[in-house]
Amino acid sequence: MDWPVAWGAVMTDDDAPGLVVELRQGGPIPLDVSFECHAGELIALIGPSGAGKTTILRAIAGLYRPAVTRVACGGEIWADTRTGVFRPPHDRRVGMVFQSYALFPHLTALGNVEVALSHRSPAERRAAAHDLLGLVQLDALSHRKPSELSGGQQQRIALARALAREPRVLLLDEPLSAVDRRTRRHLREELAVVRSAVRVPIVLVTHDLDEAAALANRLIVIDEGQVLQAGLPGEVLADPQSDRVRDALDLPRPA
Amino acid sequence: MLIDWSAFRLSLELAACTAALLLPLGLWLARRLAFRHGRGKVVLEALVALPLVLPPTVLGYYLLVAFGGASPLGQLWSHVFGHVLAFSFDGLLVASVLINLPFAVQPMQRAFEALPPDVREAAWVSGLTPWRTFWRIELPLAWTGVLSAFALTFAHTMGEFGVVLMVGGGIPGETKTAALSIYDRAQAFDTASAGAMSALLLGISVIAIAVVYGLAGRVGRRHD
Repeated sequence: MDWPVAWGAVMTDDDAPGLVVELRQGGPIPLDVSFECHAGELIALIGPSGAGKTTILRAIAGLYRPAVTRVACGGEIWADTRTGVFRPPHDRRVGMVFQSYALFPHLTALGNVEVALSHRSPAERRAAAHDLLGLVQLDALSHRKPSELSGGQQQRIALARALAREPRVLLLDEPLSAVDRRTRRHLREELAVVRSAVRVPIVLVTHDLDEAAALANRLIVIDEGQVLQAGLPGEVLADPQSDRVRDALDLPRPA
Repeated sequence: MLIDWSAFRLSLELAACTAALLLPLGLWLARRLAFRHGRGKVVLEALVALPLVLPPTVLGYYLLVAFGGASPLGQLWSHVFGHVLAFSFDGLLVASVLINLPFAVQPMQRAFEALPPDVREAAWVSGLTPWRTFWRIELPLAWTGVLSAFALTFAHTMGEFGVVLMVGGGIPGETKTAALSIYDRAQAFDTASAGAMSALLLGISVIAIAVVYGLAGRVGRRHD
Protein backbone atom coordinates (compact mmCIF):
# COMPACT_ATOMS: atom_id res chain seq x y z
CA MET A 1 0.00 0.00 0.00
CA ASP A 2 1.46 3.35 -1.00
CA TRP A 3 1.25 6.24 1.35
CA PRO A 4 0.40 9.60 -0.28
CA VAL A 5 3.43 11.87 -0.48
CA ALA A 6 1.60 14.70 1.27
CA TRP A 7 1.71 12.74 4.51
CA GLY A 8 5.34 13.61 5.03
CA ALA A 9 4.16 16.51 7.16
CA VAL A 10 2.54 14.14 9.62
CA MET A 11 5.59 12.02 10.28
CA THR A 12 7.62 12.97 13.28
CA ASP A 13 10.89 11.75 14.72
CA ASP A 14 10.82 9.17 17.44
CA ASP A 15 12.40 11.57 19.91
CA ALA A 16 9.86 14.31 19.14
CA PRO A 17 7.49 15.00 22.03
CA GLY A 18 4.50 12.72 21.77
CA LEU A 19 1.28 12.78 23.70
CA VAL A 20 1.23 13.66 27.39
CA VAL A 21 -2.00 13.08 29.26
CA GLU A 22 -2.96 13.76 32.85
CA LEU A 23 -6.62 13.62 33.90
CA ARG A 24 -8.00 13.74 37.41
CA GLN A 25 -11.40 14.30 38.95
CA GLY A 26 -13.59 12.80 41.65
CA GLY A 27 -16.86 12.77 39.75
CA PRO A 28 -19.26 12.49 38.00
CA ILE A 29 -16.95 10.18 36.07
CA PRO A 30 -14.00 9.41 38.36
CA LEU A 31 -10.63 9.74 36.65
CA ASP A 32 -7.08 9.34 37.89
CA VAL A 33 -4.91 8.73 34.87
CA SER A 34 -1.60 9.91 33.52
CA PHE A 35 0.45 8.47 30.69
CA GLU A 36 2.65 9.37 27.75
CA CYS A 37 2.56 7.97 24.27
CA HIS A 38 5.47 8.47 21.87
CA ALA A 39 5.25 9.11 18.16
CA GLY A 40 4.78 5.79 16.40
CA GLU A 41 3.78 4.05 19.60
CA LEU A 42 0.41 2.38 20.02
CA ILE A 43 -1.03 2.26 23.50
CA ALA A 44 -4.08 0.17 24.24
CA LEU A 45 -6.37 1.29 27.04
CA ILE A 46 -8.04 -1.89 28.16
CA GLY A 47 -10.69 -2.54 30.76
CA PRO A 48 -14.34 -3.43 31.22
CA SER A 49 -17.05 -1.26 29.71
CA GLY A 50 -17.79 1.73 31.90
CA ALA A 51 -14.15 1.89 33.06
CA GLY A 52 -13.74 5.41 31.65
CA LYS A 53 -11.69 4.50 28.57
CA THR A 54 -13.81 6.41 26.09
CA THR A 55 -13.91 9.38 28.46
CA ILE A 56 -10.10 9.51 28.34
CA LEU A 57 -10.15 9.61 24.53
CA ARG A 58 -12.82 12.32 24.60
CA ALA A 59 -10.74 14.39 26.99
CA ILE A 60 -7.70 14.10 24.70
CA ALA A 61 -9.86 15.29 21.78
CA GLY A 62 -11.29 18.18 23.83
CA LEU A 63 -14.84 16.78 23.82
CA TYR A 64 -14.83 16.34 27.59
CA ARG A 65 -13.22 18.53 30.24
CA PRO A 66 -12.24 16.78 33.49
CA ALA A 67 -11.68 19.01 36.53
CA VAL A 68 -7.90 18.60 36.31
CA THR A 69 -6.68 18.23 32.77
CA ARG A 70 -3.31 18.39 31.12
CA VAL A 71 -3.05 17.34 27.51
CA ALA A 72 -0.01 18.17 25.41
CA CYS A 73 0.81 16.83 22.00
CA GLY A 74 3.66 17.36 19.56
CA GLY A 75 5.08 20.10 21.80
CA GLU A 76 1.80 22.04 21.92
CA ILE A 77 -0.31 22.39 25.03
CA TRP A 78 -3.92 21.55 24.16
CA ALA A 79 -5.39 21.82 27.61
CA ASP A 80 -4.06 22.75 31.02
CA THR A 81 -6.53 23.54 33.76
CA ARG A 82 -3.76 25.03 35.93
CA THR A 83 -3.00 27.78 33.41
CA GLY A 84 -6.50 27.92 31.94
CA VAL A 85 -5.42 26.82 28.47
CA PHE A 86 -8.12 25.05 26.49
CA ARG A 87 -8.02 24.53 22.75
CA PRO A 88 -11.37 23.38 21.34
CA PRO A 89 -11.55 20.10 19.39
CA HIS A 90 -11.46 21.77 15.97
CA ASP A 91 -8.15 23.40 16.92
CA ARG A 92 -6.36 20.21 18.05
CA ARG A 93 -5.41 18.15 14.99
CA VAL A 94 -6.89 14.95 16.37
CA GLY A 95 -7.81 11.98 14.24
CA MET A 96 -10.58 10.10 15.99
CA VAL A 97 -12.46 6.98 15.00
CA PHE A 98 -15.67 6.83 17.01
CA GLN A 99 -17.08 3.53 18.17
CA SER A 100 -20.28 4.24 16.24
CA TYR A 101 -18.12 5.65 13.37
CA ALA A 102 -20.23 8.85 13.50
CA LEU A 103 -20.07 9.30 9.74
CA PHE A 104 -22.00 12.23 8.25
CA PRO A 105 -25.12 10.45 6.90
CA HIS A 106 -25.97 13.09 4.29
CA LEU A 107 -22.53 13.09 2.66
CA THR A 108 -20.93 10.53 0.37
CA ALA A 109 -17.84 8.59 1.42
CA LEU A 110 -15.78 11.17 -0.46
CA GLY A 111 -17.66 14.05 1.20
CA ASN A 112 -17.06 12.57 4.63
CA VAL A 113 -13.32 12.56 4.03
CA GLU A 114 -13.28 16.00 2.38
CA VAL A 115 -14.87 17.59 5.45
CA ALA A 116 -11.76 16.72 7.45
CA LEU A 117 -9.47 18.36 4.88
CA SER A 118 -10.46 21.95 5.63
CA HIS A 119 -6.84 22.75 6.49
CA ARG A 120 -5.93 22.10 2.84
CA SER A 121 -6.72 24.43 -0.05
CA PRO A 122 -10.07 23.70 -1.75
CA ALA A 123 -8.29 22.69 -4.94
CA GLU A 124 -6.30 19.97 -3.17
CA ARG A 125 -9.14 18.47 -1.17
CA ARG A 126 -10.78 16.30 -3.81
CA ALA A 127 -7.55 14.61 -4.85
CA ALA A 128 -6.41 14.13 -1.25
CA ALA A 129 -9.76 12.57 -0.34
CA HIS A 130 -9.47 10.15 -3.27
CA ASP A 131 -5.95 9.24 -2.16
CA LEU A 132 -7.18 8.45 1.33
CA LEU A 133 -10.10 6.38 0.08
CA GLY A 134 -7.59 4.50 -2.06
CA LEU A 135 -5.51 3.89 1.03
CA VAL A 136 -8.42 2.14 2.74
CA GLN A 137 -9.33 0.48 -0.59
CA LEU A 138 -12.68 2.17 -0.98
CA ASP A 139 -12.11 4.59 -3.83
CA ALA A 140 -14.46 2.57 -6.04
CA LEU A 141 -17.31 3.31 -3.60
CA SER A 142 -16.50 6.99 -3.09
CA HIS A 143 -19.97 8.14 -4.20
CA ARG A 144 -21.94 5.95 -1.82
CA LYS A 145 -23.63 7.28 1.28
CA PRO A 146 -22.72 5.63 4.61
CA SER A 147 -26.11 3.86 4.69
CA GLU A 148 -25.16 2.11 1.45
CA LEU A 149 -21.93 0.70 2.90
CA SER A 150 -21.27 -2.33 5.10
CA GLY A 151 -20.10 -1.96 8.70
CA GLY A 152 -16.51 -2.75 7.75
CA GLN A 153 -16.60 -0.24 4.91
CA GLN A 154 -18.08 2.47 7.14
CA GLN A 155 -15.33 1.81 9.63
CA ARG A 156 -12.68 2.28 6.93
CA ILE A 157 -14.30 5.56 5.85
CA ALA A 158 -14.11 6.65 9.48
CA LEU A 159 -10.41 5.75 9.51
CA ALA A 160 -9.81 7.64 6.26
CA ARG A 161 -11.60 10.68 7.67
CA ALA A 162 -9.49 10.53 10.84
CA LEU A 163 -6.30 10.38 8.76
CA ALA A 164 -7.49 13.21 6.50
CA ARG A 165 -7.08 15.58 9.41
CA GLU A 166 -3.30 14.91 9.22
CA PRO A 167 -3.54 14.32 12.95
CA ARG A 168 -0.88 14.77 15.59
CA VAL A 169 -2.51 11.93 17.50
CA LEU A 170 -4.78 9.11 16.42
CA LEU A 171 -7.57 8.01 18.77
CA LEU A 172 -9.38 4.75 18.07
CA ASP A 173 -12.45 3.86 20.12
CA GLU A 174 -13.18 0.12 19.90
CA PRO A 175 -12.48 0.21 16.18
CA LEU A 176 -12.94 -3.50 15.65
CA SER A 177 -15.84 -4.23 17.97
CA ALA A 178 -18.71 -3.97 15.52
CA VAL A 179 -17.36 -5.97 12.58
CA ASP A 180 -17.20 -9.69 11.87
CA ARG A 181 -14.06 -11.83 12.35
CA ARG A 182 -12.93 -11.74 8.76
CA THR A 183 -13.30 -7.96 8.47
CA ARG A 184 -11.61 -7.65 11.81
CA ARG A 185 -8.50 -9.49 10.61
CA HIS A 186 -8.48 -7.34 7.49
CA LEU A 187 -8.81 -4.10 9.44
CA ARG A 188 -6.11 -5.18 11.84
CA GLU A 189 -3.70 -5.56 8.92
CA GLU A 190 -4.78 -2.17 7.61
CA LEU A 191 -4.20 -0.60 11.01
CA ALA A 192 -0.72 -2.07 11.09
CA VAL A 193 0.04 -0.43 7.74
CA VAL A 194 -1.39 2.91 8.85
CA ARG A 195 0.63 2.73 11.99
CA SER A 196 3.93 2.22 10.27
CA ALA A 197 3.12 5.03 7.86
CA VAL A 198 1.81 7.73 10.21
CA ARG A 199 4.34 8.14 12.94
CA VAL A 200 2.07 9.76 15.50
CA PRO A 201 1.01 8.53 18.93
CA ILE A 202 -1.94 6.15 18.66
CA VAL A 203 -4.30 5.45 21.56
CA LEU A 204 -6.60 2.50 21.12
CA VAL A 205 -9.52 1.79 23.42
CA THR A 206 -10.65 -1.80 23.62
CA HIS A 207 -12.06 -4.41 25.94
CA ASP A 208 -10.68 -7.20 23.76
CA LEU A 209 -7.44 -8.61 25.13
CA ASP A 210 -6.48 -10.39 21.89
CA GLU A 211 -6.89 -7.17 19.94
CA ALA A 212 -4.84 -5.21 22.46
CA ALA A 213 -2.08 -7.82 22.60
CA ALA A 214 -1.91 -8.06 18.80
CA LEU A 215 -1.68 -4.33 18.10
CA ALA A 216 -0.26 -2.52 21.10
CA ASN A 217 3.28 -1.66 22.16
CA ARG A 218 2.01 -1.03 25.64
CA LEU A 219 -1.08 -1.90 27.64
CA ILE A 220 -2.70 0.31 30.22
CA VAL A 221 -5.25 -1.55 32.29
CA ILE A 222 -8.04 0.75 33.44
CA ASP A 223 -10.95 0.32 35.78
CA GLU A 224 -13.13 2.95 37.41
CA GLY A 225 -11.02 5.65 35.79
CA GLN A 226 -7.81 4.43 37.42
CA VAL A 227 -4.66 2.95 35.96
CA LEU A 228 -4.36 -0.49 37.55
CA GLN A 229 -1.27 -1.62 35.68
CA ALA A 230 0.77 -0.53 32.68
CA GLY A 231 3.46 -2.28 30.73
CA LEU A 232 4.39 -4.39 27.71
CA PRO A 233 1.53 -6.66 26.67
CA GLY A 234 3.54 -9.82 27.42
CA GLU A 235 4.49 -8.57 30.87
CA VAL A 236 0.99 -7.57 31.85
CA LEU A 237 -0.48 -10.86 30.63
CA ALA A 238 2.20 -12.96 32.27
CA ASP A 239 2.14 -11.11 35.55
CA PRO A 240 -1.12 -9.35 36.39
CA GLN A 241 -0.42 -7.52 39.62
CA SER A 242 -3.77 -7.87 41.33
CA ASP A 243 -7.10 -9.60 41.18
CA ARG A 244 -8.60 -6.33 39.95
CA VAL A 245 -6.28 -6.44 36.94
CA ARG A 246 -7.22 -10.08 36.34
CA ASP A 247 -10.91 -9.16 36.56
CA ALA A 248 -10.49 -6.16 34.25
CA LEU A 249 -8.73 -8.36 31.70
CA ASP A 250 -11.15 -11.20 32.30
CA LEU A 251 -8.27 -13.53 33.24
CA PRO A 252 -8.86 -16.36 35.73
CA ARG A 253 -7.89 -15.64 39.32
CA PRO A 254 -5.24 -17.95 40.78
CA ALA A 255 -6.72 -20.88 42.70
CA MET B 1 -66.12 42.80 -2.76
CA LEU B 2 -66.13 39.14 -1.90
CA ILE B 3 -62.64 38.96 -0.46
CA ASP B 4 -61.08 41.62 1.75
CA TRP B 5 -57.73 41.70 -0.01
CA SER B 6 -56.25 44.35 2.24
CA ALA B 7 -56.91 42.06 5.22
CA PHE B 8 -55.33 39.13 3.38
CA ARG B 9 -52.31 41.21 2.42
CA LEU B 10 -51.94 42.23 6.05
CA SER B 11 -52.20 38.60 7.19
CA LEU B 12 -49.60 37.53 4.62
CA GLU B 13 -47.26 40.31 5.74
CA LEU B 14 -47.75 39.39 9.37
CA ALA B 15 -47.20 35.69 8.65
CA ALA B 16 -44.07 36.36 6.59
CA CYS B 17 -42.57 38.74 9.16
CA THR B 18 -43.41 36.39 12.05
CA ALA B 19 -41.84 33.42 10.29
CA ALA B 20 -38.79 35.48 9.32
CA LEU B 21 -38.25 36.66 12.90
CA LEU B 22 -38.93 33.26 14.42
CA LEU B 23 -36.53 31.46 12.14
CA PRO B 24 -33.31 32.73 13.78
CA LEU B 25 -34.86 33.06 17.24
CA GLY B 26 -36.47 29.61 17.03
CA LEU B 27 -33.27 28.04 15.67
CA TRP B 28 -31.30 29.42 18.56
CA LEU B 29 -33.83 28.23 21.14
CA ALA B 30 -34.33 24.84 19.46
CA ARG B 31 -30.60 24.08 19.39
CA ARG B 32 -30.21 25.21 22.97
CA LEU B 33 -33.02 22.95 24.10
CA ALA B 34 -31.84 20.03 21.97
CA PHE B 35 -28.14 20.08 22.89
CA ARG B 36 -27.89 21.51 26.40
CA HIS B 37 -29.18 19.69 29.40
CA GLY B 38 -28.85 22.21 32.21
CA ARG B 39 -31.28 22.86 35.01
CA GLY B 40 -32.97 25.70 33.14
CA LYS B 41 -33.94 23.44 30.25
CA VAL B 42 -37.26 22.23 31.66
CA VAL B 43 -38.31 25.74 32.62
CA LEU B 44 -37.41 27.11 29.19
CA GLU B 45 -39.18 24.22 27.47
CA ALA B 46 -42.32 24.84 29.54
CA LEU B 47 -42.27 28.57 28.76
CA VAL B 48 -41.95 27.87 25.04
CA ALA B 49 -44.89 25.43 25.22
CA LEU B 50 -47.09 27.77 27.29
CA PRO B 51 -48.81 29.46 24.31
CA LEU B 52 -50.15 26.03 23.30
CA VAL B 53 -52.39 25.88 26.37
CA LEU B 54 -52.80 29.54 27.22
CA PRO B 55 -56.01 31.06 25.80
CA PRO B 56 -54.91 33.55 23.10
CA THR B 57 -57.16 36.21 24.62
CA VAL B 58 -55.30 35.85 27.94
CA LEU B 59 -51.92 36.28 26.31
CA GLY B 60 -53.43 39.13 24.29
CA TYR B 61 -54.68 40.82 27.42
CA TYR B 62 -51.29 40.72 29.15
CA LEU B 63 -49.57 41.96 26.02
CA LEU B 64 -52.08 44.78 25.72
CA VAL B 65 -51.27 45.82 29.28
CA ALA B 66 -47.54 45.49 28.61
CA PHE B 67 -47.79 47.47 25.34
CA GLY B 68 -50.02 50.21 26.73
CA GLY B 69 -48.92 53.79 27.29
CA ALA B 70 -48.90 53.20 31.06
CA SER B 71 -46.22 50.47 30.94
CA PRO B 72 -42.45 51.05 30.75
CA LEU B 73 -42.25 48.98 27.54
CA GLY B 74 -45.08 50.96 25.95
CA GLN B 75 -43.49 54.26 26.95
CA LEU B 76 -40.05 53.20 25.71
CA TRP B 77 -41.54 52.05 22.40
CA SER B 78 -43.47 55.25 21.74
CA HIS B 79 -40.39 57.25 22.77
CA VAL B 80 -38.14 55.42 20.29
CA PHE B 81 -40.56 54.79 17.40
CA GLY B 82 -43.02 57.62 17.86
CA HIS B 83 -46.17 55.51 18.06
CA VAL B 84 -47.72 53.16 20.60
CA LEU B 85 -47.18 49.44 20.33
CA ALA B 86 -50.77 48.54 21.09
CA PHE B 87 -53.18 48.62 18.11
CA SER B 88 -50.27 48.75 15.63
CA PHE B 89 -48.76 46.28 13.19
CA ASP B 90 -45.54 46.16 15.26
CA GLY B 91 -47.57 45.19 18.31
CA LEU B 92 -49.29 42.45 16.32
CA LEU B 93 -45.92 41.19 15.18
CA VAL B 94 -44.52 40.97 18.73
CA ALA B 95 -47.66 39.15 19.89
CA SER B 96 -47.56 36.85 16.90
CA VAL B 97 -43.91 35.92 17.50
CA LEU B 98 -44.65 35.03 21.12
CA ILE B 99 -47.75 32.97 20.44
CA ASN B 100 -46.00 31.09 17.63
CA LEU B 101 -42.91 30.13 19.67
CA PRO B 102 -43.99 26.51 20.18
CA PHE B 103 -44.91 26.06 16.50
CA ALA B 104 -41.45 27.22 15.46
CA VAL B 105 -39.31 25.76 18.22
CA GLN B 106 -40.75 22.29 18.70
CA PRO B 107 -40.34 20.89 15.15
CA MET B 108 -36.80 22.26 14.99
CA GLN B 109 -35.94 20.95 18.44
CA ARG B 110 -37.17 17.47 17.47
CA ALA B 111 -35.08 17.64 14.30
CA PHE B 112 -31.89 18.59 16.16
CA GLU B 113 -32.54 15.96 18.83
CA ALA B 114 -32.81 13.35 16.08
CA LEU B 115 -29.25 14.02 14.85
CA PRO B 116 -27.01 11.00 15.42
CA PRO B 117 -25.34 11.71 18.78
CA ASP B 118 -21.65 11.61 17.81
CA VAL B 119 -21.97 13.39 14.50
CA ARG B 120 -21.47 16.92 15.80
CA GLU B 121 -18.47 15.84 17.81
CA ALA B 122 -17.06 14.07 14.77
CA ALA B 123 -17.41 17.31 12.84
CA TRP B 124 -15.52 19.32 15.48
CA VAL B 125 -12.77 16.72 15.66
CA SER B 126 -12.59 16.83 11.86
CA GLY B 127 -11.64 20.49 12.17
CA LEU B 128 -14.97 22.25 11.63
CA THR B 129 -15.70 25.17 13.93
CA PRO B 130 -19.09 25.07 15.70
CA TRP B 131 -20.37 27.64 13.17
CA ARG B 132 -19.29 25.58 10.16
CA THR B 133 -20.58 22.44 11.85
CA PHE B 134 -23.97 24.15 12.02
CA TRP B 135 -24.01 25.00 8.31
CA ARG B 136 -22.41 21.88 6.87
CA ILE B 137 -23.65 19.14 9.19
CA GLU B 138 -26.52 20.20 11.47
CA LEU B 139 -28.66 22.23 9.08
CA PRO B 140 -28.49 19.79 6.13
CA LEU B 141 -29.58 17.00 8.51
CA ALA B 142 -32.30 19.04 10.25
CA TRP B 143 -33.65 21.14 7.38
CA THR B 144 -36.97 19.30 7.19
CA GLY B 145 -37.66 20.34 10.78
CA VAL B 146 -36.75 23.93 9.95
CA LEU B 147 -39.08 23.98 6.95
CA SER B 148 -41.88 22.40 8.99
CA ALA B 149 -41.43 25.08 11.62
CA PHE B 150 -41.63 27.75 8.94
CA ALA B 151 -44.79 26.30 7.35
CA LEU B 152 -46.55 25.79 10.69
CA THR B 153 -45.71 29.29 11.89
CA PHE B 154 -46.85 30.82 8.64
CA ALA B 155 -50.18 28.98 8.52
CA HIS B 156 -50.88 29.47 12.20
CA THR B 157 -50.26 33.22 11.95
CA MET B 158 -52.56 33.47 8.93
CA GLY B 159 -55.44 32.15 11.01
CA GLU B 160 -54.65 33.62 14.44
CA PHE B 161 -57.69 35.32 15.93
CA GLY B 162 -57.83 35.95 19.66
CA VAL B 163 -54.48 37.54 20.28
CA VAL B 164 -54.75 39.60 17.10
CA LEU B 165 -58.12 40.98 18.14
CA MET B 166 -56.95 41.82 21.66
CA VAL B 167 -53.67 43.47 20.72
CA GLY B 168 -54.61 44.92 17.34
CA GLY B 169 -58.26 45.83 17.73
CA GLY B 170 -59.08 45.11 14.07
CA ILE B 171 -58.27 48.52 12.57
CA PRO B 172 -58.80 48.20 8.78
CA GLY B 173 -55.51 48.37 6.86
CA GLU B 174 -53.43 48.42 10.04
CA THR B 175 -54.41 45.47 12.22
CA LYS B 176 -57.49 43.92 10.64
CA THR B 177 -56.28 40.52 9.47
CA ALA B 178 -58.07 37.94 7.32
CA ALA B 179 -59.39 36.02 10.32
CA LEU B 180 -60.89 39.21 11.81
CA SER B 181 -62.40 40.11 8.48
CA ILE B 182 -64.08 36.70 8.25
CA TYR B 183 -65.52 37.22 11.72
CA ASP B 184 -66.79 40.67 10.72
CA ARG B 185 -68.46 39.39 7.56
CA ALA B 186 -70.06 36.46 9.40
CA GLN B 187 -71.39 38.84 12.06
CA ALA B 188 -72.94 40.92 9.27
CA PHE B 189 -74.58 37.79 7.76
CA ASP B 190 -72.43 38.25 4.64
CA THR B 191 -72.00 34.50 4.22
CA ALA B 192 -70.73 34.81 0.62
CA SER B 193 -67.73 36.87 1.70
CA ALA B 194 -67.11 34.89 4.89
CA GLY B 195 -67.32 31.67 2.89
CA ALA B 196 -64.95 32.81 0.17
CA MET B 197 -62.34 34.06 2.61
CA SER B 198 -62.67 30.95 4.77
CA ALA B 199 -62.09 28.78 1.72
CA LEU B 200 -58.96 30.77 0.91
CA LEU B 201 -57.57 30.34 4.43
CA LEU B 202 -58.48 26.66 4.31
CA GLY B 203 -56.47 26.33 1.10
CA ILE B 204 -53.42 27.99 2.65
CA SER B 205 -53.66 25.74 5.70
CA VAL B 206 -53.97 22.61 3.55
CA ILE B 207 -50.85 23.59 1.62
CA ALA B 208 -48.92 24.18 4.85
CA ILE B 209 -49.98 20.84 6.29
CA ALA B 210 -49.13 19.11 3.02
CA VAL B 211 -45.64 20.59 3.20
CA VAL B 212 -45.17 19.47 6.81
CA TYR B 213 -46.45 15.93 6.31
CA GLY B 214 -44.83 15.56 2.92
CA LEU B 215 -41.50 16.31 4.59
CA ALA B 216 -42.23 13.94 7.45
CA GLY B 217 -42.82 11.20 4.87
CA ARG B 218 -39.54 11.99 3.13
CA VAL B 219 -37.60 11.83 6.37
CA GLY B 220 -39.29 8.56 7.27
CA ARG B 221 -38.19 7.01 4.00
CA ARG B 222 -34.68 8.39 4.19
CA HIS B 223 -34.00 6.75 7.53
CA ASP B 224 -35.26 3.32 6.41
